[in-house]
Amino acid sequence: MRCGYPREDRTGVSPALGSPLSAELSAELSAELSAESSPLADAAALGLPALAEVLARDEDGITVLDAGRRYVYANPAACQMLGQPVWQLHGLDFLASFRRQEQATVLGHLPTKLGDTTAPFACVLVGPDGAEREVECSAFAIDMAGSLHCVAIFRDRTGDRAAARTAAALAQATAQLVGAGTTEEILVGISRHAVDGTRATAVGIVVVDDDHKLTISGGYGFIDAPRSRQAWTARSIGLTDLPGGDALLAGRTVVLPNARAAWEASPVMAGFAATLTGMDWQGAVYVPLSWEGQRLGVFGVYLPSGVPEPSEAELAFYTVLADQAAVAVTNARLAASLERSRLARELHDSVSQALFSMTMHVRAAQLSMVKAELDQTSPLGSSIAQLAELARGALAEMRVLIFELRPDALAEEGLMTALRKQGDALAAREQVAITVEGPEQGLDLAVGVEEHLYRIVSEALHNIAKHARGAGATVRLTSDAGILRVTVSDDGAGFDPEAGHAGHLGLSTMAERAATIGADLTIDSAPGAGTTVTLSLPYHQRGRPASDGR
Amino acid sequence: MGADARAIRVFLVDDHRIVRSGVAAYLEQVDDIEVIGEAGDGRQALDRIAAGEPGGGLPDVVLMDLLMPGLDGISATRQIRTRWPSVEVVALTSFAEEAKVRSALEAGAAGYLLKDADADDVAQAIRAAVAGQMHLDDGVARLLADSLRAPRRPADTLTPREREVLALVARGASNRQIAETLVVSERTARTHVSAILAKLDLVSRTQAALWAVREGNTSA
Repeated sequence: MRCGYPREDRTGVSPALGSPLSAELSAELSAELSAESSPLADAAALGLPALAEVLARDEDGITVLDAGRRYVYANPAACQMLGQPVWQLHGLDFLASFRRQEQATVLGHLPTKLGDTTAPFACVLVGPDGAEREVECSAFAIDMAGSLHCVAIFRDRTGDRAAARTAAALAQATAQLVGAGTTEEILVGISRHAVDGTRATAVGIVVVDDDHKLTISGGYGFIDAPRSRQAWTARSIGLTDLPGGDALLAGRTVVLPNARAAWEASPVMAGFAATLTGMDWQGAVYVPLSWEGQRLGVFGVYLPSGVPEPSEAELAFYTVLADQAAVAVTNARLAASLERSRLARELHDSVSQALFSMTMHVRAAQLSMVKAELDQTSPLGSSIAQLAELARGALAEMRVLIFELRPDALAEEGLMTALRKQGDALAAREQVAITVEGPEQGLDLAVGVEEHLYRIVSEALHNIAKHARGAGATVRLTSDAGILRVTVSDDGAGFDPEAGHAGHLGLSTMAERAATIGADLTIDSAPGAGTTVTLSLPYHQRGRPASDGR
Repeated sequence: MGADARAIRVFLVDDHRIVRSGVAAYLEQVDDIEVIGEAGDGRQALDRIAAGEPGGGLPDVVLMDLLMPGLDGISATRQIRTRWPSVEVVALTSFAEEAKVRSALEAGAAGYLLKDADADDVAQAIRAAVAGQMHLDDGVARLLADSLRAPRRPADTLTPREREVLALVARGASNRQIAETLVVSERTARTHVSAILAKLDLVSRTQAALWAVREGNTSA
């Protein structure tokens, strides 16, 4: 569905002009048009008050063109849409009223012989002052005084109508948000609104995670949506891979009149572009999905050939729908985060308390063994010792889990505390001694940066536990001369960083996170010589506020 | 401990029954400590402690969870310390946020333990509280040290007398105890403490005590 309003009755473009004008009337009309006079007077003078009334009142713009596509007549509505009075329009080229890039398309829609009637098509009128107006145009050919003329009718798609359409679409989108649909269903619904209400061929909404990789998506109008989605995820296309990705990340809308050619030539995008081969598209519009300054993803519009750019009204409409999509996604994330908080609370209330109680009972058992003069090295004694160890380990694991489930945990407790918890849990589980050293004072880092640092160090520690097979590891944070340096080193097996298996160690994710926060990541390792991961980023400790209790 | 020494009387407050049972089972095996009662929230704790008072049954130490329905642990701590100054409170909780720790200490808690402490740490904290010392979980101590990082105001801006007073504060002495020890009036003791707080740019005795511990100013 590329044009037309599905909700409106499009039969009979204009009842008064549904059939060709009589030759006599046409001749009269034509003769009168050179004079400066009102269309009402013109038609009234012709003794056709009924027609005059229709022409004057019709909110559709009605124009008559001669065989050379020059205006010979325009009713008041058409004059208003075109931004010029009828005497100025007279003799002007009809095509000059359209954007240059749309003129060929418009020409293709004009009737060439009597009896030709074109289906309504969307286009944009450009006034003499450059003002744009999105209209739906239909045309048919008539014979006037023996020569072929054309009646072109414009129906306004901006202004009140567009506002009504936006309101209707918003109401529907909002209703969908409230409804029980999954986020994906809501995104599909929003995409569908966008395709139905504008000239777009297809619309796809892609939502990304912290690493800018796709997490969920929804689209409408694609010829093979599952394959397109698969192609997108297979290359793990990120926002920065898109042409104009930097502008998107900065929160700006990107219009690419030749996106198709650019994509087919791009190694990252070619696979996705290939799934759109059979689709009529050429240009693209990307509107960022933003919430509180965060980029959640992108609202991608695929425009048909002949429509390289959207009209202002279309762009506004896409922006509104992209905002709706952002709300839907934020809603879903909030729900997920509330659910995680609830889970954290439950785990804390049940499992953690039970495990703490267990460590107490185990110690009680050990003390009563002493009192009963039972051998602590007996099978009973060592089993109890083992239980104590397991309970302590499980408790440490729980603390990390609960910490990671609580969205604000890092902000509340700080990076060093978080890293110590992580180290304790891994130490208990993997029997690796993990030391965490760093400044005891809180670090002046944005929460986003702390989050990335935490994840990078966690990943490095997990690598050590999984691959290094060493006895110990050290995490060290130091800040000096405006640089915060985080090192994670182990005395384990090491590896050859050139050997190409680096991807399996999560190193690319670590590198991406580092890049996101503007940090340098280096990895020093050699077989048998342990591994040191070093992360450096510019850092300036601000003075602590005096209200901080000193 | 001597045969005639009385066991330390402990009262447990926690909304998790399994935690009370675990701690009680452990303390049962510790000779110098006995559990004399327990409660599931702050209100119940106040009621039960009050009910035991007439028979001379006040606890020496209350082991207090902080996050509980009804009257929370911090309010309960404040009320206990106001009503029965001889009763020490040790917080035993899962949370190590700085604000919680501060509130608990300012409400008068003599210790702060996390619920991943070793069992023996719990007994140790109880004994420390009775001895007038403060026992803090390692992580909690780090957190406080951070928040108390004073501007570099060397201890030598304090007069010798003030250093003596600070050492007593660090050992948990009240103004009256300071007055008795130094043979001055209670008002003078209070003036010294105020002067110390002003010089060190601190707001509470607890902070002063922590500062003293960190700076090694604990013996006069």
